[in-house]
Amino acid sequence: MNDEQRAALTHCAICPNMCRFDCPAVQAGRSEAIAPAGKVRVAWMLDAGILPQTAENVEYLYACADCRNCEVWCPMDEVKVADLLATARAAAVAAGAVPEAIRATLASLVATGHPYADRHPGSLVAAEAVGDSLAPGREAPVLLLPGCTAAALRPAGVQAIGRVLTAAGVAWATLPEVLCCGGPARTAGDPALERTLATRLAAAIAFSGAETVITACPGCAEALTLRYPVLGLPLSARVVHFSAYAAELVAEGRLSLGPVPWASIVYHDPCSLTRGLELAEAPRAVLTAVPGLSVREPRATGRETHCCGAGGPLARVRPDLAAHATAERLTELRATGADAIITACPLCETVFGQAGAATVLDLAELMSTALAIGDGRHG
Amino acid sequence: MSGPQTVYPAPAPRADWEEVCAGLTMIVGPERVSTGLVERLAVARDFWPITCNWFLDGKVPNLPEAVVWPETNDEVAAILCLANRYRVPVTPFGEGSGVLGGAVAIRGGIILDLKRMNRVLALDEESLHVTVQAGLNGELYERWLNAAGYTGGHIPQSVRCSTVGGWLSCRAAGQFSTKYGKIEDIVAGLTAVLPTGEIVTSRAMPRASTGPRWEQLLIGGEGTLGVITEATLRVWPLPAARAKSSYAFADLAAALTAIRLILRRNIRPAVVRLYDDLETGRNFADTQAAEGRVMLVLICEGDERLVALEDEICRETALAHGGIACGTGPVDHWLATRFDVSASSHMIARGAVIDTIEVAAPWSHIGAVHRAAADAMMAIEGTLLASGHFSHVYPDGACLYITVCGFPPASTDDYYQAVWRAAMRATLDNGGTISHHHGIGLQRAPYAADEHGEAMVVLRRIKAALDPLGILNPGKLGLEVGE
Repeated sequence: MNDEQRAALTHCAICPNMCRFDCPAVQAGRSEAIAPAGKVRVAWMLDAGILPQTAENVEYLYACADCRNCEVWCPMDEVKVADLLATARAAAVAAGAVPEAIRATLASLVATGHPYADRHPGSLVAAEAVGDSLAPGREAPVLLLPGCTAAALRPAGVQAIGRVLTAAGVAWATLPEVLCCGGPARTAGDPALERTLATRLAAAIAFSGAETVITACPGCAEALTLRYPVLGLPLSARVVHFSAYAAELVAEGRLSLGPVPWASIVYHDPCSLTRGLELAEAPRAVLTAVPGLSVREPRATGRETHCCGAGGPLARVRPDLAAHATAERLTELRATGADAIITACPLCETVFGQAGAATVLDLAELMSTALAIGDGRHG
Repeated sequence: MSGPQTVYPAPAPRADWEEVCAGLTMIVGPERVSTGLVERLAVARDFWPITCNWFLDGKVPNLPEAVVWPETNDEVAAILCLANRYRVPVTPFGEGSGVLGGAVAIRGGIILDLKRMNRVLALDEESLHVTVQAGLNGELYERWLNAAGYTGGHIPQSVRCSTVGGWLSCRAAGQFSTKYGKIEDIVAGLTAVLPTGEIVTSRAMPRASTGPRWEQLLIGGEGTLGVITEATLRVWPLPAARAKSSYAFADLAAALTAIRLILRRNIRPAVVRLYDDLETGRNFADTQAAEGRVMLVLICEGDERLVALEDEICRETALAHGGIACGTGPVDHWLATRFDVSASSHMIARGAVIDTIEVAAPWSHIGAVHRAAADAMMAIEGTLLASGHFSHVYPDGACLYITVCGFPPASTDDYYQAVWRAAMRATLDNGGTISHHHGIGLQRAPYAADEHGEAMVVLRRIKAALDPLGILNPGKLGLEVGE
């Protein structure tokens, strides 16, 4: 931890926790130790050597959804709790203090290149993620990155992206293998592994010669655009999340969207998209282009969106708290009375579905349906 | 390495501690009891500012021995019965935003964390009453009300990090209190668990003549006389209109006169804040007319026609006393920055001691209290700044909110206590009361006897009667002889 980070850690540690009311972890768990400043105090005491680096103590550093909602309410520009905790976790991992669940995540990343070895023991193949009928081309100007989360948990969303791109006449391809952006390694506290994974992906993107990289996962877009420059891995290709690219296609008139079977939908802003990448308008521009569709907003929306519960390492170390956050957010979304939940993140879609939401779709899936019903064009 | 040092003496090991833990586990289940070091450290202090300095020195006031999270009145009652049986201190804890050490477990024991009691229980829209559990966060409470079309009228600076139970326990005040009242005006009824485990309820009534209102003992009782677990609070329809205005005056005397006369005409702006020259310079440097003057910020809200009239009378009165209208800019600035507590974090990190001390006095004494307290604190070696604003006003007086900041020349604790002694002495000597809304806790406990005089015996006898073994939040309010 450098001096700047230490100063920020101190400022946060002696704040009365003005952001706590909107932190999904403490609102679920009700323990002072997992309020934003509570976790930072743990990090401060670990850094100062007041608390020993043990797996039991450092587990509190992981009770965070990395949703960055605390930043919305924080008056201190220098304080970024998620970043401070990531740095503190790195120190803990370096000291050998790793909670069991995180140890498994790191082992999965090392063995398979993604954090989902429990579901997919081998590496993830892009062709399987994007669907057999959409076998990837080579050397296309647009590279679609499924990302390990979308490929492992929500391939249907990636396949829909492929259909939309094809319908718009975009020449796209994927890499043969789904490569991790490195974000999960950083979250878990292994910056060396993050760098290894990020370097591999950056090289693959450069080798592909793509001019534009479209990500299915907001986390990948956040890593590639915000984190890679910090790691000294700038990309010459333009990186954009699918929702922003889709809004451009709609604005350019390259897609003709027809009606969909739902009269109303509610859009859930993924944290990485709205707070990390400040992309709240683009998905709404797409949704409002669907004829006859009523777009509803939940109580917490845009920059103040609430986490789905699946972000960061929270679900790994405290699945009970993550499930609570998911249920709370679903309650807010259902309160709109909308027929379907639309979002643009494979993690959000997965946990909402697991929690019993009847209709949860990726933005691309809604668009794909609108294309199919609208004018018959279908990839 | 087993955690930080403790400032207060660590409790002696208890031979029967395993039994206490087993009892707690039987009451709430293993998931809602913790004896883990990190959990105990997290509730080892509240937001008593000197404990921030202690924290950076690797110290906490004391370590509780267990944290327990009850969810029902019955569980709270059972925990208190257990505590009496084993003579274990119990300290109620909300979100730890108290600034006087009121939630510090100075004798160790059990922290009773009420945050799992956070439900809204009932809304009576006809009577404008809402009943909630005490562990409900203030911001979430207000947001829930807003969604239903109401406001609770209670917005303290700590609203985002405090609970309803905490408000009641220290007789809190919100920033809009001139219209809606302090929390003791807002509460209509409550349920509490007495130190010996009885669950008692004061039904929500508009008014009653049924003998002394016993629940008033718990409002401001800081958890020494009972644990408030539920409260019925008065609410208001969301205001249809809001008028913002501000005026710069040549001096405090002219501005205080204008405020007093506005209140005397039975006008109740929701927000009335008057800043002395130092704070005006610090907060309103962008307002040219405020230079070298003092700034008054007003918000009137409620029914559209009434607000227009209130705003007009405020304007007439302010102008008649030399006020220069400064528009809505200063009000918007205050609204935008009112939850910004970053200066405190930044200053403490640089080694400063910083605190806010709120006192109150009748109009006839408030000016003298302000001058005497600020002068006395500035006279303490090391003080960099002692500035103030009048943050809550009434027909008969006002609250003075002083910010003091200094760099201790030697011992941090000695400097801190010297500043407090100066403020308390100046307030008492000039006809004020030592606290308006933060309470007594540990920091003001040494001054409680001077505040109450002979009447201190009333509080001490009540404490002895309700809590014969002295298990509930010991050391607070100055209730213990020789404290």
